[in-house]
Amino acid sequence: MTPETWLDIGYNVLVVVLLVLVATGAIPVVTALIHFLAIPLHAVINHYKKAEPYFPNVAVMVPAWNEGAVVGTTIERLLALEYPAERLRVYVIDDASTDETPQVVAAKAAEHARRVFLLRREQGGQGKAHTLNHGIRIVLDEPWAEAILIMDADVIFTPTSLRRMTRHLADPKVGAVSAYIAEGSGDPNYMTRFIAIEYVLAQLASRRAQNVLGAHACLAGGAQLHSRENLEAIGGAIPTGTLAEDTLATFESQLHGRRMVFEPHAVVLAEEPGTIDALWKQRLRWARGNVQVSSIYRKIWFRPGHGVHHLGNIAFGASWFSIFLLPFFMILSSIGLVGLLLLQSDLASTVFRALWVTAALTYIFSMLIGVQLDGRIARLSWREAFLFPGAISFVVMIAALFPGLIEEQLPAAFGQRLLPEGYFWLTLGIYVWISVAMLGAWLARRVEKTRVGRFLSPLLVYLVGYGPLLCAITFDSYIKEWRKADASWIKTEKTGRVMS
Amino acid sequence: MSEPTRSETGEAREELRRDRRWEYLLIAQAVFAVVIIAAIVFVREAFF
Repeated sequence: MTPETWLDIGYNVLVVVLLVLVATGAIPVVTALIHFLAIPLHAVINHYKKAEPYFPNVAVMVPAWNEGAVVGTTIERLLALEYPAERLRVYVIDDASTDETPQVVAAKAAEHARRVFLLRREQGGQGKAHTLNHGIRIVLDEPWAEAILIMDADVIFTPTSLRRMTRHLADPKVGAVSAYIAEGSGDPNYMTRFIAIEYVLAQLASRRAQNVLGAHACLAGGAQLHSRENLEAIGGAIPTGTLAEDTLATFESQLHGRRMVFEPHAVVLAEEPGTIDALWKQRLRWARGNVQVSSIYRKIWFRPGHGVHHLGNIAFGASWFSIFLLPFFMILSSIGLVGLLLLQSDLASTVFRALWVTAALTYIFSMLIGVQLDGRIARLSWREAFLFPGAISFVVMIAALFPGLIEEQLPAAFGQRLLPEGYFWLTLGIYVWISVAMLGAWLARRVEKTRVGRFLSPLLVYLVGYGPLLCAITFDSYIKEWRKADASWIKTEKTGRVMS
Repeated sequence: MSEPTRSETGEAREELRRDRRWEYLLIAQAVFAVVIIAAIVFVREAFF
């Protein structure tokens, strides 16, 4: 073969490799689409047929570290739940608080004898799982509790939420149930509004799909109801050693053959971070926990056909790794598009449009589903639902959906025309945008604490998008785990400003 | 130990029926979303 032939082969191989790189960007899009298409199936594939009114003795475990500002209200609200009074006990596990938490809880325990209990740890700071286990051990030593509700000290259970959860435990095959944790800050800002719509998508939508698939990634640690049998089966304690104790408990429960149920009508309100920095710290902990979980359970992924659990399902694994590897997919896709632009710009344009049209339609479909699932959040966060992928990506989607509108018709409306050189640079900018957006999110965090940060950071997040912000945090989690950075538990700061 | 009262059980049963019925709305919501998507695709194909 002549050198020209070899060059041709090399060129074609390179083009195919670049096409494959671009295609990696379609993996999370297609996975999300399949996930969202599964949601309507929840109308018929759900656990309601096997649920029935059921009121087991419930021990509520409230881990508390310096929660003096909120724990008294939390206890009162728990006692006011629409649930048989003598079947509900509240155990506050004080993790060596240095504020007035023990005094507040002790006063409540005296006021509500045999309903409220203070369990004090003299040495704390080991994290939520250790704190919970201190209480769980004590509760399981007595035969009274038939179910254990694990929650956070600052979340607020709506009156009927607990009984809506316990009804699923009437089926002995169910090991744990979780509620819908809705963002409920009393004074919402742009960040809590983004989180609110994210929770609708990640819980009301996605966890319904997981109910349909029969495999759950994580039952929310702020509202996780276990049957006694389930907790005893997984060792009588919440697994420790990672930053994702709720995910680990969810996986272990399923590996022991018990079914997990997400109950969308049991609503729990929680105060979520109001700044990028606070969100970054919280989500970094979660993302690093997911890195750890991905490694711990490396032998179960993509191995369907296991009789006991469905964690090996292809769809479940694709969903898990789509989120876990999303930053990689975005970067690889950008590299592929830029490479194709330099080699075969027409082909690049075709695959770009195919990718972004699919992404745009999936995004619109998912948001249309999402905003219908929670009317309160839809009214609160409709702008953030629009701008979830960022204003710039929104424009790119419009450009992909309606060819010529942005690059030709819009300039023409102002009597302008894009020159070939300008067109090239615009195209290049669009192709690398999904990766550059993560840098923009990182920048938004950097400037947040500066004098202009109060205005510039929200502006940057609206421009680059909340989705890329989460991707940037995930990317940071890879780096932190790779460097084996300090993994000590950093509590998310709360101020007790949950709406009443 | 107090048993749940008949009204508590009745309320819970009614709540269960209501929540179960609510889930059928998911189908209507998905159909609505598909109609909007179809409209966007139609505009794209017809005018661009």
